[in-house]
Amino acid sequence: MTHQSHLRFKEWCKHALLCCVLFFAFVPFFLMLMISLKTNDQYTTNPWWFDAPSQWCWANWTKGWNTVGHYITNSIVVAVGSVLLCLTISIPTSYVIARYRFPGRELVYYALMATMFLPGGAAALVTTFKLISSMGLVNNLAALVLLSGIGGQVSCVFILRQFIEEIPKELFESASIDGAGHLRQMWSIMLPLSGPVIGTLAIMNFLGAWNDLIMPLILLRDDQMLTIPVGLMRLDGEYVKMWGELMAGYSIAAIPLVILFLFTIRLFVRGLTAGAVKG
Amino acid sequence: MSGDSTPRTGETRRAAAAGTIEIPVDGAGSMARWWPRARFVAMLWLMMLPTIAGLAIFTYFPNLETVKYSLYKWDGGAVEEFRLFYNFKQIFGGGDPRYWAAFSLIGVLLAANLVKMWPSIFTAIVLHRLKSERWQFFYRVLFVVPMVIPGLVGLLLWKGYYDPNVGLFNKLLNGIGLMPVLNSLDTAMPALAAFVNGNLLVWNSANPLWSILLLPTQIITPLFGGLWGMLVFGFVLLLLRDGVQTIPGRWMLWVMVMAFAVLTWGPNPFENPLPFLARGLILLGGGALLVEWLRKRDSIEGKDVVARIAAGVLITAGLLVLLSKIWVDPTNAFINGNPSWLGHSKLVVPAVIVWGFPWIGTVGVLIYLAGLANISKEVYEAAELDGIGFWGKIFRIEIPLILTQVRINLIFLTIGTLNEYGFFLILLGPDGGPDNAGLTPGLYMYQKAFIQSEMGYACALGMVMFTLILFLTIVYQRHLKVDK
Amino acid sequence: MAGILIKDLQKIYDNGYHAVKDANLEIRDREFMVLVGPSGCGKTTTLRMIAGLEDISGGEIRIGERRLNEVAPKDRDIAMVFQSYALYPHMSVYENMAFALRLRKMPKPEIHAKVMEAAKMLSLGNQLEKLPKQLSGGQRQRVALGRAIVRQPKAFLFDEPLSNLDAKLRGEMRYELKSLQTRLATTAVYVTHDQIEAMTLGDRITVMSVGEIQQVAPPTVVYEFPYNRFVASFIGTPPMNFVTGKLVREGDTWSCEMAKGQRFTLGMKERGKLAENLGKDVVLGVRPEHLHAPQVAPAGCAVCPMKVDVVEHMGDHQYIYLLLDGVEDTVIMKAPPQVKAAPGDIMPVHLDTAAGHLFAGTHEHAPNITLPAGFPRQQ
Ligand SMILES: Nc1ncnc2c1ncn2[C@@H]1O[C@H](COP(=O)(O)OP(=O)(O)OP(=O)(O)O)[C@@H](O)[C@H]1O
Ligand SMILES: [Mg+2]
Repeated sequence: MTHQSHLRFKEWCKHALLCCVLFFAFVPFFLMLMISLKTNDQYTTNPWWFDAPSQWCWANWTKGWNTVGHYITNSIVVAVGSVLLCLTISIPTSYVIARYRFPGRELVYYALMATMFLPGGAAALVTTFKLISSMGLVNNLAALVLLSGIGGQVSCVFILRQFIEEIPKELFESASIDGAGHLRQMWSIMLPLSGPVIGTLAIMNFLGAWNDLIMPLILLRDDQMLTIPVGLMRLDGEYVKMWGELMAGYSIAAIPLVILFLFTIRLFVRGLTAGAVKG
Repeated sequence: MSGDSTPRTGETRRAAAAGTIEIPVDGAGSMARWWPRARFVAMLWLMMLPTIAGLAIFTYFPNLETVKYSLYKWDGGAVEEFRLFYNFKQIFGGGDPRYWAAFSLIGVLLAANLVKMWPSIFTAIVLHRLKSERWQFFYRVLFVVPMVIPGLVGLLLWKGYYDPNVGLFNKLLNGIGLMPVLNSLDTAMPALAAFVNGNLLVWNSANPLWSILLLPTQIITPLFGGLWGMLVFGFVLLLLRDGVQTIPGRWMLWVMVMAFAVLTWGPNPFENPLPFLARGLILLGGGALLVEWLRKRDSIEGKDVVARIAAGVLITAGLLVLLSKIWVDPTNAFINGNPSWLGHSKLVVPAVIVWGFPWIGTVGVLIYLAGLANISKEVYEAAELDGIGFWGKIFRIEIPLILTQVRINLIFLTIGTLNEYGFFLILLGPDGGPDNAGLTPGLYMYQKAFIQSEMGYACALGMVMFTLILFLTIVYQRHLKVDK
Repeated sequence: MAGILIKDLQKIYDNGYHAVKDANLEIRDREFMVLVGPSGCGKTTTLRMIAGLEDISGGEIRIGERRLNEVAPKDRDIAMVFQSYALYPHMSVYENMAFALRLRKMPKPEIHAKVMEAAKMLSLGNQLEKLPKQLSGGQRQRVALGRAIVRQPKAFLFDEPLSNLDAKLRGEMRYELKSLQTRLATTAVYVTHDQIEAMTLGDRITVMSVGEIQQVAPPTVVYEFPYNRFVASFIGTPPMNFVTGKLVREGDTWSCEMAKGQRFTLGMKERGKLAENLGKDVVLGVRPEHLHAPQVAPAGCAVCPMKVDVVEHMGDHQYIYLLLDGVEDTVIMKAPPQVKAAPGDIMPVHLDTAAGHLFAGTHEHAPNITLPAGFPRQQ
């Protein structure tokens, strides 16, 4: 083998390996779509591949939509609300912590970071529930927005702080001599320069709120109020045997994220690989 | 730095523009000195107020309340009765064997997770080594795409795969002919275990020291249970590679970690403390001496002996733990070719471990990739000129350079595994499946709180967990700063 | 326009480091004041306190009649050019220059006019749409200047604005800065550690060392009448030659006697303070141009044989490095090109001590005792 063809062979090996990995990552995706178009009978006789398109069972999707539709609205409300809350409170905090030395700075920062190591386990769930119910927010989406927005700010501050500290401080100083106040410095200097990072953080926070199960499970009561994960979990319990409908429901539940990713995937991938999320 | 809090009126601006003289703010009095600064700092605090308030109300307040309620009998509602350390006496006094048994499951999971970490790293390395930037970006995008499936859907999908009759997992096993192999192993492995067990018994009865260390009636289970200690040992070795430089510092670390290991070793260490203490001491003393000796050699020969031994210990211990949990007795589940993976107490743990094969967390890959991207081309080129090979590149360049990411990952992995319960709750229900095979400490806590309404007790369990995690965090803290 | 008054200024950093000690300085209206000193002497710190970027630990700063201590940077009406330029990387050249004006809510057409005017002045007309990273070093530097100019501030602050440029560009920009300054006629404080910049740009220069102001005077005065040994050694390239000795007197002849017994007769006119130091350790400082080869020496010099070590030809002059018995450092002579010297030669060197200085004591900040009586430290 020449050196050239040896190199090419090595490249091919890498591609093969990555494709193999991707295959496994996409199998669930594929199966979900496939099974969503089958009746239970079709599934048992032919579990591995699509049937002829004429036999596709679209009724699964209608049923799926009827059951999952309003969960999606709830989830979007919670996730968007949580992202907004998280960013509005963590941006000023990271700005302050990254730019200034002042009494109490370390205290706030470490109080934030320490929450990563709290055993956020089931015991705190109990008292959190007590707190939420004393605020009268049980069975209310606002409670979820509050909890996941405030929980999500920890990693946001952690990452943003690092990022802002890497922005040359002369830029901020120059702006402040030019006449910019804190808000203006955040808006005109910090946001444009950390845009991709903030975008990535927003998406991460969105995904966190979107996939959260335990809190909604404890806090939500009415079927009208459920978010996607809880709703699907209930479906899973009810329709033990109706695989097709279940999968159609799952597929529909994935649609909002598909749309979100269609628009943001470049940003997100860049942000993640640029080391935006180091920890 | 001065603040922006000074009012800026139109007058001053115009006055400045017109070049008129302004009235000087006179007086270097102390008030004038600290007031602007104080106002400035107050402004900063004001900007952080939402964060601080949110944190205090929604994070610290509930967590602190668990401290209070750990001293109460509380059903989550009206019944609230102070009873001091009753809950803790219950936990540590042998009244709750299930809780301590749950920790050996954590050992297994931790071992499995340590193994499951590597595919992501290797994938990231392969991806990083692709020559074409465009392909790299393309793959990175593809790696993100599966995230559109809600986490719970992924979970429920896998649950569907494990269904005994229609599930794809069994169909796959039957299809590729693995099921008969499993079936034959089902008799072979217990026979092996019995053989080892019998021989150990003979040796054991002849050896008085042994009987202090192990409970004489059942040997193989506690022995394998002890591998949890080995795991911790390997872990510490890995951590000690670079880090605490002073000998007393290392010994403090040892004491802490070993106390932790001993605590979580077997059933309830507080019922019969002697063997636990003995094992702990042996691990502590022997292990620490070994490490000191190894480090000396390490520094003399400039080799990574410690790291290699650590890796070896970790892998062996991991494998042994996995095996021991499954096949001490025949399961008889594979005969009909439709084992119920989530319905058989011996199969729950393997099912959980196989879960998510090939264990490539796509976000994880991208994070490792971020670390790899910091390696400059020159480093590679220099190494190539030095004649480095494929494996050399992995173990001498890439892994050492993403060690920070790996370590951070390890921290969160450990803490995450210790706290894990959501996954098991969805999969197996609050009981942890058949025979509580999948009952983690976290899930047990959940069960106590929400199923049995013993919330005070659950809070006490939470406190125990908190202490453990605090220990771990302190240990880790000595090795890497959170904000670096 | 206004002058800047600095009174008893102190800076103590959080870690306890006393970076600026009792600084007193008056910068006159429309004056170009250069702060010069070795690295770490507190120049930047002083400048940042004037800008309001650093808290003032003590004393006060006034601009015009207005006390600045408690005024936020944005309200001080001061423009600053940073060493790293601090151009906003996400804004075009135009936006960079317009940013401050926009913040001041100036009407758009006015902003446009000002930016265009500044761009023309700095020949940046074709670059306005570019981002900073698409510019060369010199262009970036000009944008940073432009950003300061458009604001028409009461004062400009420059923190080593030329130090990121290569030597040639630095020369050009120095020239442009000088001509700009004459045109704009605005008070400016310019920090540098490059003494050529200091000598050429400054109307007056302030020499700082370890947080203290050593001397304030026009460049030529600082050069000719250094207030103490530090100033003498810091200003001038190659630096002034120093020899340590004992001050002795024979009749009316004062001289400096060295450890090895050589004597330099002192020709200085100012003798007022000599008497106080009789018999004490002193340092004699003579600039390289006041050392002469025998052929070209004026009358009345002290003569001492020295050994030639290295000769550097510079074209219109040459530097001869000489070894003097009992002196550690080489002594440098600036000689006209016709002087012939080869390494190893022994040359009777003529020291024009009348143009030299005598410092009382051997420490770094030893005062100059040969200044005219009542010579002001700041002028
Ligand atoms: N934030 C700070 N905290 C503590 N000490 C500081 C701080 N900033 C500067 N210093 C110290 O104050 C002294 C003066 O610093 P300054 O930046 O004013 O020096 P400079 O004269 O500008 O030097 P250079 O020519 O190198 O820029 C230095 O010794 C520096 O170490
Ligand atoms: Mg400086």
